[in-house]
Amino acid sequence: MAAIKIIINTFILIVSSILGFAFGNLYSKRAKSLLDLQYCIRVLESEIINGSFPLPQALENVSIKGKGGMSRIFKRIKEDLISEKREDIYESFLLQKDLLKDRFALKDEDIEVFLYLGKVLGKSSRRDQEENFKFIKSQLENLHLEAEAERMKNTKLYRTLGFLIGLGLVIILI
Amino acid sequence: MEIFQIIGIGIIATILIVILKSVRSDFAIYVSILTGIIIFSMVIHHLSYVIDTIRDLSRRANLEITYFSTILKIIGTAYIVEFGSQISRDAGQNSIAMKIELAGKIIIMTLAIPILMSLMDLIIKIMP
Amino acid sequence: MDVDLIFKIAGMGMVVAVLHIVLSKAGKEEYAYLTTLVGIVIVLGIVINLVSSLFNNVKVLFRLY
Repeated sequence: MAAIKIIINTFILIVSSILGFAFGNLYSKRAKSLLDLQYCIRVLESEIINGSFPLPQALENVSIKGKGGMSRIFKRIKEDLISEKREDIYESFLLQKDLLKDRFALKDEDIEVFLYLGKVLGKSSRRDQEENFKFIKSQLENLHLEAEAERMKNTKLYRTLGFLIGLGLVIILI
Repeated sequence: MEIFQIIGIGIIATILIVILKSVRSDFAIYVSILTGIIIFSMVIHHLSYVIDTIRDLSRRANLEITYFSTILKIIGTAYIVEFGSQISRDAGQNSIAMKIELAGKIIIMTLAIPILMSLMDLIIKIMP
Repeated sequence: MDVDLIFKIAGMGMVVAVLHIVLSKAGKEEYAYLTTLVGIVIVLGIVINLVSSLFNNVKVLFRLY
């Protein structure tokens, strides 16, 4: 009986700690996704500005060169663009909104920047695009810094919180 | 020996309360209430043995059983009142402690009135 | 009557205190307040039961009906 009790209590402690870690990782996921997105957009910029590839080809290249799961998003956009024969690339970007939110833990303001990219992509002269890329990159940089600060605070908080709540439960249940 | 257990519990509880008081004083009160209850529960069966013996004695001495039960009630009330007022005093609420004690005194007085009345009857009977 | 209960309550108090400190350091004062409240209610639930059992014991012992 005592052995079962000890096992159950350690189980509760471990589960709550894992839950705390999972919640904490949600915040670190956002920072990582933003970093990946930044990298992908930098690749896209060099493909478009320097390589002068057409948009589907540029997107394909990004999905090959890009980092993390984020590169898959660009592949999806390209496929959607070709299969649905979109006039406006913004609609293809809009389709990825839910995926970004669920899978990559991005917030609405991050997605807004991403959608802005879809709005301006391939619509104007090269110089304008360069300006726009610069703007998007600086904005993403700001968001990443903010996410990083939030991550530092929240990851630690949720880890401690998970462990402490587990400890409290164990103390109550003993 | 039970007394060593009780003293041990008391010392441990005191240390815990001192530690807790610096972080969260509200939990320290709970610990002190709990310690009081546990210590009382440990000695309660001794007390019941004593009370049984006294009752036996009073029966043998042909004392009236109502007086004895009244005295018992008074002792019990006094103990509970002491317990409650000490808790409030520990929590720094002196005025509440005073009110509890006042209520205890009044109730003890009402419990004692039958004895007082019988005493009066006795005096009136003796006086010509 | 088990002495473990004293340690249990003291442990709860310390856990709640640390939770309060952690949460208020992270700038979540309202949650810190809430956790303290929950801890106090739980402990109060435990203690109230014992107080009522003590009162019952005293009632039976001193015939305070």
